Amino acid sequence: MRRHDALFIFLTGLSVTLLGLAVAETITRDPQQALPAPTVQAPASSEALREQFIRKGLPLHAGKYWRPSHE
Amino acid sequence: MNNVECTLCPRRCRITEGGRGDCRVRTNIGGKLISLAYGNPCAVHVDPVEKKPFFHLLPGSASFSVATAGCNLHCRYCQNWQISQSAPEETSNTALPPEDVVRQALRHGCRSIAYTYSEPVVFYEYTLDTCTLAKDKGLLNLLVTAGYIEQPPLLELCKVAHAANVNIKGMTDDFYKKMSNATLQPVLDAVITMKKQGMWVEITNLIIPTWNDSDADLHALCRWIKTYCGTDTPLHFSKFWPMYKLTDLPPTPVDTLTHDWELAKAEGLKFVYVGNVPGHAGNNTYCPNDGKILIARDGFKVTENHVKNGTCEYCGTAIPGLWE
Repeated sequence: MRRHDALFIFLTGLSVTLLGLAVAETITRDPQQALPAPTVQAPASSEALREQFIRKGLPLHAGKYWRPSHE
Repeated sequence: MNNVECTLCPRRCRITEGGRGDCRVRTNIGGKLISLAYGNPCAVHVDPVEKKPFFHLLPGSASFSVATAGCNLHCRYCQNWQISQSAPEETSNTALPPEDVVRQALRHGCRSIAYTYSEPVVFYEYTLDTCTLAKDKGLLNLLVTAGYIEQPPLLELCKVAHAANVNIKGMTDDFYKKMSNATLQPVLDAVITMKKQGMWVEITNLIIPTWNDSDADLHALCRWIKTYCGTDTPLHFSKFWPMYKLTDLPPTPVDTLTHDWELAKAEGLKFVYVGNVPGHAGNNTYCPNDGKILIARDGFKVTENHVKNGTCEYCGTAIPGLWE
């Protein structure tokens, strides 16, 4: 066997192996991990919420009959 | 965690900061519950009191009627879904604080204020404050409601509200769950509390073909009314029109309503009415003693009134209601 034939066979084998590994990784990967990392958005501050409602022309009146919830 | 639990209605919504309750009008800002409906009605009209309907309350009088966006029920056939199933920022609103509601009601010659069209429970604080002012000015406060409210807020409201027309939509939890995403028992409890607190109560039942129009449904409703409210309690059977998400059904046939009217009277209820059918004999009030027409109506229009000082003009039988 000539040297470049051996190199060709080696490279083809390597490509097939790498392709196989990539396919196996895609099949077995947790779908959640496949998602892009979520963008962490800071919750709107109370002041920002207040302004948002006022901008929409909504009144902000203290409600009755509620309690804090820690759930 | 800055969440709040709304304890106004049986849904007991847990609302996160900036979130909304199921009713769309109650939010959480900074760990406090805030109403977005207060003094912010999307419907303001002067209506005949018969339109609510109240048939035993100041007949022929005008009622100043207000509503905001939002509702805590989601009835598939809602007749006012454009406002009841909307958030306040989605409706066209008018700034009208409680004192202006009372002022306008008096200016228009109304004898009452009706909290109606959508659901007064969800604009509770607005209803409560307006009722308090209106009562001081001699106006009657009328709730037109599904009665889906917790007992403590209801008890507070009963101190300033004079009357309620409660829509009992069906007599099974299954019906409430499928049609309104709600439950029956809190509604029945609310009616009992209103009666016990001395409010004048009339009941409406919208008859929906194939859904709540069986004789078994009607017997159950009539017997419950007899047992817990008394045979003097007016019952209005109302004609269904295909609406909102329930457009695949026909309107209630008049024959069905006539049958239901007869059935309820045979069950012993003294004041049974047929609504949304102008000209029907079930529009009128009849004396339970002599059978004569006491109040003749054509739709919402009173054409004759023979109730004098709360009694039948012909035989003197006392007729229950708020007449003066």
